[in-house]
Amino acid sequence: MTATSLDVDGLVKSFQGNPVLKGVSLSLTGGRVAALSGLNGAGKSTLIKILAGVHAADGGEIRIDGATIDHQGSGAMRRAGIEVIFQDFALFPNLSVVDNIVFADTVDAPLGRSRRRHDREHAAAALALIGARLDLDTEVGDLPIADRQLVAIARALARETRVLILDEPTASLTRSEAARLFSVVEGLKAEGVAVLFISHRYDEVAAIADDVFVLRDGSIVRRFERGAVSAADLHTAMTGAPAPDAVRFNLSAPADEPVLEVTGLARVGLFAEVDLTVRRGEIVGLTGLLGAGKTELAEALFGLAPVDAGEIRVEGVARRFRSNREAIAAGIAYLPEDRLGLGLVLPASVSDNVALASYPALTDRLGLVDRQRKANLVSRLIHGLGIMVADVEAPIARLSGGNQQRAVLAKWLATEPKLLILDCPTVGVDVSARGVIYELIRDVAGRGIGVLIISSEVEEVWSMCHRVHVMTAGHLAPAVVPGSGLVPLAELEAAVHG
Amino acid sequence: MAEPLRERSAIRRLAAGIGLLGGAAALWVPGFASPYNWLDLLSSSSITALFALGLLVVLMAGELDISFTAIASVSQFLLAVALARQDIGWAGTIVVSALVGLLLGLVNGAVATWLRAPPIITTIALLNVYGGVLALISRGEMLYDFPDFFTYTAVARIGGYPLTLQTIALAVTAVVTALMLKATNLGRILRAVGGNRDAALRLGINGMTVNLLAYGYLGLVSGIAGLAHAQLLQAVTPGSLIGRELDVVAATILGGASLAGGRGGVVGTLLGVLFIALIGNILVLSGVSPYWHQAVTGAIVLAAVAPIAWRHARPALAEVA
Repeated sequence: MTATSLDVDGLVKSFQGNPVLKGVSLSLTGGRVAALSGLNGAGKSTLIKILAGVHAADGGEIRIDGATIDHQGSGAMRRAGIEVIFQDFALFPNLSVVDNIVFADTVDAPLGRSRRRHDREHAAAALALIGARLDLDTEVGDLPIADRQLVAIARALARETRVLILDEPTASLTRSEAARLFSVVEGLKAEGVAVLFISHRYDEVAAIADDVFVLRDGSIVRRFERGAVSAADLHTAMTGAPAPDAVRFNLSAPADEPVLEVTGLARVGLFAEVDLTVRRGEIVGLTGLLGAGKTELAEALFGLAPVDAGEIRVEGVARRFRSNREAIAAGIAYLPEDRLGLGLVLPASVSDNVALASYPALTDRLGLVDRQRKANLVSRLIHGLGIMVADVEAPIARLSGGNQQRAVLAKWLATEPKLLILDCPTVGVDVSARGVIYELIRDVAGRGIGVLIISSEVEEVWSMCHRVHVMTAGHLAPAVVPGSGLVPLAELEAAVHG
Repeated sequence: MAEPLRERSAIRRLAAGIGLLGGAAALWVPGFASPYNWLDLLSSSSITALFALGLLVVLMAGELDISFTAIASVSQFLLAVALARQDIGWAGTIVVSALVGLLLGLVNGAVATWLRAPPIITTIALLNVYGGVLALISRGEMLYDFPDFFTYTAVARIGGYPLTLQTIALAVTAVVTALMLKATNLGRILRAVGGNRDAALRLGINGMTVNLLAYGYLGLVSGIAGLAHAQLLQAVTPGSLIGRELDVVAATILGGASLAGGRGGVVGTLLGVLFIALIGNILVLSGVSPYWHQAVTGAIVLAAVAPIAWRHARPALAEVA
């Protein structure tokens, strides 16, 4: 039997006249792993959505073993043996491992009787293919992320899958889980499956891929063979510009007086014995794996969640926040991870969003908003942060992602905070737009505001912060000072990923 | 046919509650321990139980339908009109009730799927449409002139105790619902759609078909409930069933179903209905003012649902205004 081949030829797709794919061609072969790399907005998700049958292409062809797939829909793609595992896995949290894995059989025979024993054997066989040992009756919602991913892969393999596409499969895994995934992928290769692995991380691409396709602005701009790609090559191909070295920014020295002093802070089951200090004008980093308790700690500092023990002092005054209002009144600002979901009221105007957190200061004794003061505040901040906006009364949803991020920052700067907490400030922002955010953060610190940055990206905190804490399973290690030159990036990476 | 863990814990909690409540009542409430009281309890709560089993299927699929009492009212009204003109026999009676219910249920499913508005709003609107049209056409007049066959309460007798139509309808519906949810792939599909609708659609499930099935089933069962109710009271007062929706929703949620979808089972649902019926029964026998019934039932449902709600509660992440 000859190896499976999937050929994508000249795929074109636009949304509302906006070309996203401009003639993408690539080919996959059974028994080989191909990587697809590209920045956000390069068209990766559109391409795999077409391969999953979620969208139909406007032009071009998809051929499997030389035969063109005519009606591009999820059914046709699945019949052709193409399975896409999206980052959300599309699993059913309330169904058992068995029911998830054999779900496709269920769909094929909706009126059939359920066959417990047959289903269990089928599911166990699929899990055995990838060497996964999972309890068949556990509900998938109770499994850790890495195991859910294995269930999703097993489900794909439970039917005749010849092409398996994994969308950024390592994004939420620890190093050891990622290593396990890689060995699963190696196993699939041996089974003759063609694998397309979406990733923009060089170490992964170098470790797993036989071929590397780089997508930029809707076209495949480079194709590398195994071993013929360097980190700098990949970066250049993705961004179109040579890669800068990981450099530490020059930071101005912080003042001595602390803004935030936390001692022995604990919340049962989430974090314990947290000691943390942030001084005026200082940028402190907090890094660690997903689930280490970073966000939970930040929410406690901002009064969104209670604490069970320990003390929070803001400018020397002991505080116990019962709500985020009290935290704001004490001078703490918080920029959540999901900037669009939690930080902005999208249908409301730019000016209302920017002034949103400052209304207590803008209202007069009758509780009415002083429009003049509001207009002054908004225009001062919009100019200060360089937000590109034609009309401050237009809905903020119309701004670009980078400008929205600045608007959220403006909202919190308007409250004249003493401490700014940023949760994953660059999540979902691609490499080229990050520089602006880093500059904004340094600018904020330069005004004497203490900044606490929470990020899973070690390089980010290493290059941005005066001091960095690593959080592991709810415990905070004493701060390290990357600036002294004693802590190289690799050492900090090792502390996080273990 | 083991229930999943969360459903099992709801069943355990309810069984314990029913055991305690029943045990205490048997000791201290006069008349409670009589078998006739239990048969009465069974007959009167079987209407609620029928609604609850239908609603379970809709909740399972992650949807919600509030209009089932109106569907039952329409179907029992049309049945009473048909019976007044012609003796259509048991077979005809069942077919008329079930068909009217099924038809309205399918309308609900189609409207809810097309509009994609929150189903609670869509179906409250439909409840008002059905209830309003019914009031207009019937002018609120009570119908009570039924053929002879319809007036016998006991369909059969077992050991001297009557086996009522309501009990049989409930038993059949419970078995059919359990088989559908547990022994066929349909149940797995309904549960999957309730757990993650997007994923199910991506894997080739037709959302409209699933919704028509779920809403249609609730409609059909509601039609039968309307029939059972008319037979129990030997009269049809248009719209007299309307207003009992939230009790049914509460009993179903108490039984382990979730407004978020994808959860619940037949055993839990039946226990949930029994629990609420038991409270009412004990209050009646204790001679407590009927006004207290609603208040007490409401409070107990709140207390029983609270731990479920807390478990799902996310940390408060509201932005300040």
